[in-house]
Amino acid sequence: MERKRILIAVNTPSDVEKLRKQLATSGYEVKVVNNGTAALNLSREFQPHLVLSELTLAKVDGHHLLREFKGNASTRRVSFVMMSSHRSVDERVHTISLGVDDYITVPFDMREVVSRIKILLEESESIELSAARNSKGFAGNLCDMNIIETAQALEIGKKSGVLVVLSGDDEGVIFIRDGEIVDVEMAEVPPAQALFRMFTWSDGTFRFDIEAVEQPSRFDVSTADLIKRGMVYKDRWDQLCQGLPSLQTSLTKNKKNGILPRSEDEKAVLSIVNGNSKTLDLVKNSELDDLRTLKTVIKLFNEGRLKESPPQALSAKSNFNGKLSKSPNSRITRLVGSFLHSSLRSDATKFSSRIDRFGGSESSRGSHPSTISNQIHLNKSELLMIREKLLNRGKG
Amino acid sequence: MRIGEIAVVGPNASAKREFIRNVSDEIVVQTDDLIFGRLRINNQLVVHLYGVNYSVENNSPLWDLVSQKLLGYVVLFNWSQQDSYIEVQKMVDSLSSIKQLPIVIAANVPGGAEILPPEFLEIKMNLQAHCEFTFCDVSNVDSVKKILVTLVDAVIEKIA
Repeated sequence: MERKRILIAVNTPSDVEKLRKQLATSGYEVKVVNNGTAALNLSREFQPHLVLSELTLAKVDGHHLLREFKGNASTRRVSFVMMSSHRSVDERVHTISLGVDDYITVPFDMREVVSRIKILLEESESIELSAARNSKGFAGNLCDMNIIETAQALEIGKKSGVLVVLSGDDEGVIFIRDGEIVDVEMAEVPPAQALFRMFTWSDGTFRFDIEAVEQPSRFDVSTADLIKRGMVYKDRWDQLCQGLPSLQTSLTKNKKNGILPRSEDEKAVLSIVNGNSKTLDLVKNSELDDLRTLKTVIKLFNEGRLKESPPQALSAKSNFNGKLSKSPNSRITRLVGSFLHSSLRSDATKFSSRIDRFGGSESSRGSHPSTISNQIHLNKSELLMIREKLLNRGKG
Repeated sequence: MRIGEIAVVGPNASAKREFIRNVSDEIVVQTDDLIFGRLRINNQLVVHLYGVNYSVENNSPLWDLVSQKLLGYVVLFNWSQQDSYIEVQKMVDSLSSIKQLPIVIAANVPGGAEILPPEFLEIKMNLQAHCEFTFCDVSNVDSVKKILVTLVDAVIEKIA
């Protein structure tokens, strides 16, 4: 049976010598390095099943190392345990939010650490076995194979399954049956637009899981046609992008050159420029399709009516310009009891009237300091899994 | 590992703690300001539940930290504490202004909402399309799960 490999990255290897010996005695193959760069280099050859890393590691720190492992498809499933003497809650939460599998506070009890490592490795093995039994498919990077090429390959192979595509904070899901694209999901984006948007992504990862896809097709054209149109779309997109410094460029209105809209498209775009809007965010949030938005942005930029934001303005305001998916007044719903005495009723009325104005451009939302995006990071099937788990399980 | 985050906010810290304790596999962190529970769905998917203090005026950096992969919010308050509802309204308004995510406003009633006479449920209130109002009993595991299912359903509806 294959020995499990453990890579320990600490600034002072002598500090973990006892732990190393204990782990080796327990049957693990253990290697210790004294900085993050060495850990990254060695991991390619050593291919650890588990990494135990100090947070404040020399050269490449523990957070960076964790991101490297969890951000790479080939090492994502390597268990990662962070060790730190920091007792800050913020730091701990941050580390956990990056996807760490366990967190150990230094100084630690050696028996406890060995036990936790053993549990993690057993869990990981069980996951791998389960994944191997249940999952068939492949994964890759968009820089090696973009979605047009992937869709073409799947069409030729007449494959069925779910293609999950990640690029930055964005995620799209393509459902394919017998090589034909039947549905596309992306938060708040219509299927065809979502598909074409994914065709333009050149940075990110994808994963294709082979499985039966039952849902009816939402496209009335063949995948071959969609791909052809997608290629034209991508060419046009790439051409337009050359007219801007970068899609990450933050733009603001240039009042000197006039910001009154001269067309409906300009009106749509200018209404969502809030002082520090990245071009990519404008494209995502516009009510126009992506190409029309980009074209309009470039026109406004070339005419000097939009200009690059000064650097100091970048983090000061919210970039939320999300389109409302539903009318704020579309549902008058729930009942609130009569415990709302008169003053509360008054407040409730004010609250409701504020809600009524919510969709308007004068809403207070732009003044909030947060710059978080407006996307759901999980797809529908994952949400259904959560739902099922909640409905079926007891506590713990 | 895929992560979905749910923020549980509201004026009453003990209600938030009980809510999260009742549905989490493990409590990762608990302080005066934060309770962080983890609910493992499967080998690739986990839900993080954050019981955090939310201030309309001024939030700690912690808030931004826990709100990067949010699915939605549960705004929890004790039905018996009438004054707290004003705070809840402000929270809902403020949260809505940041991010148009589903919100479940949950009124905690020990013993369940069925103890309330029907005439208590007569005043209609306009809520935004992404808000749901419901009763719950944070001491009851099934009731807490029901709140989360309501939220997840709203998220599914949002992305549909």
